[in-house]
Amino acid sequence: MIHIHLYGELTDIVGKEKIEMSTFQSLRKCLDALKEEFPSLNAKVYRVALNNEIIDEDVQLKQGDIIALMPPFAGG
Amino acid sequence: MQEDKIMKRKEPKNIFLDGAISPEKIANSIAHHQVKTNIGAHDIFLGQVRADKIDGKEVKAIEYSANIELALKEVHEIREATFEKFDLTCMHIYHSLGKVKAGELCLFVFTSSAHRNEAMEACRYLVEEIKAKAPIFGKEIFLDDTHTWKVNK
Repeated sequence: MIHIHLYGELTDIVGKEKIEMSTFQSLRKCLDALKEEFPSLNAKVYRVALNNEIIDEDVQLKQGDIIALMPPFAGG
Repeated sequence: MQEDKIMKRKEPKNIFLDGAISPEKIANSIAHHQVKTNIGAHDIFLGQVRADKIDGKEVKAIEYSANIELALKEVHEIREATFEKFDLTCMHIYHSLGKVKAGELCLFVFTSSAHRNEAMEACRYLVEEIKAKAPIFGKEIFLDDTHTWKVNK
């Protein structure tokens, strides 16, 4: 399983803060599967972190990976 | 002193406080620096929750959440970079989590140095970096209990 952690307004779209996905050939495929389940995500801007490292490129995933999807930061 | 500084900078410090930051905490923090007589200047930034009007509805509170682990890592890196860039005696950073009502404080950044330029520039730099790099999110709650999500300008 891949653990997806959602933040900010993305929690409204998915309806919870954490979900699990069984698709994990690659990060892109996993996110595509997630967007298929929650099409509203397609319109959203977010940054992706894999195991607490922000990444931009597609990578292979492994069992137990944690993907964080974070909308634009709004601290302060 | 140097050794002391390096020791302090190893582990990411917690910056998060539950709820609003009290003015007493800020006053106490200032008072604690009176023993550090090598300091000649402090600068303080305080972020306060604004009762924004959005589409005719008024914000009564912001509920903050964060990717805590990543935020602490990012802020740790910001802290290190700030110590490299500016000649500071010390710095303190606190951010609220959970609900903070309009008018209450949600961010406290405190820099101290021998002279004003370093303290003031470092404070500004820290605030901008925290806003840009720390994964913190704010749910703006309206008077009628509906909500929207805060977007930083």
